Amino acid sequence: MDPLVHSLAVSASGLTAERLRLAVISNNIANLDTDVTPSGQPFRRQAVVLAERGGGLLPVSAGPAAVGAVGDGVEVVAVVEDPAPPGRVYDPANPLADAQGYVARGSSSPVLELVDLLDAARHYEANVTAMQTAKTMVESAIRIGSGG
Amino acid sequence: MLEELQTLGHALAVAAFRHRVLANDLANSATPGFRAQDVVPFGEALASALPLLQADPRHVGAPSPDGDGLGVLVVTTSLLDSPGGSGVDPDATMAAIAENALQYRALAGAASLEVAIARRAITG
Repeated sequence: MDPLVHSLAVSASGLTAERLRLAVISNNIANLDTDVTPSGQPFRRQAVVLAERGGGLLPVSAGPAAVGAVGDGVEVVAVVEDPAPPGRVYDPANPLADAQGYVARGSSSPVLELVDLLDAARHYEANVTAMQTAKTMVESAIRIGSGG
Repeated sequence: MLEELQTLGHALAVAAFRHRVLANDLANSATPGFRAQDVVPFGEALASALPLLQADPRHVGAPSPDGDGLGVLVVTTSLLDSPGGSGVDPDATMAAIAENALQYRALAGAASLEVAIARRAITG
């Protein structure tokens, strides 16, 4: 495939990965005060694990005399739970409170999640820009010979 | 005339390929352990990797970097892993993408002119 057209797919993989990351962060924010999950355990913040896709040798058609391995974008290989123990909040009225009146809650903080959210949004925008650049390049290639 | 068009076509292919490599850098700018890559002209990379001594003018020297410039080499541009993050500088990558796109459009414009000249030669 033409490398320019293929780079659209590479940037799209970045968009997909960052959107999933945004969804996971949103879920963390929504569950900042969640005491119990369906498994019966307190909620723990989740994080995506990103990995380069492919990275194998390029086909000959990929570029002139291409040497070396260029990856094929990015993908989310796993969504993992933060292993850190959740914090303890004093809430004696809560039916889940222990003998001392504490509830296991808050494995994350709004600050941490919002910083992550901004980071994911910036990465998403950067991929959009790369995609738009590839599009203008393809357009200028299509115009070769059509003008005067 | 056709040779010029062919050379421009090769240069366009190199720029397109470079965009693909830089887009992969950007897509992996949050991937832990990833190292940024870029494309360099093959002659340039070889000349810097192998500084050949020429004791006699008849010795074969390193290929001149300003040769036809068609061969390219994918090189890793970030050698140090940043802790927990990727070795991609998003700003530098965005700048390289913009520069490469400008070069591509300039080359496409030049190719357009070549075609226009050829058309003028044919139609008179």
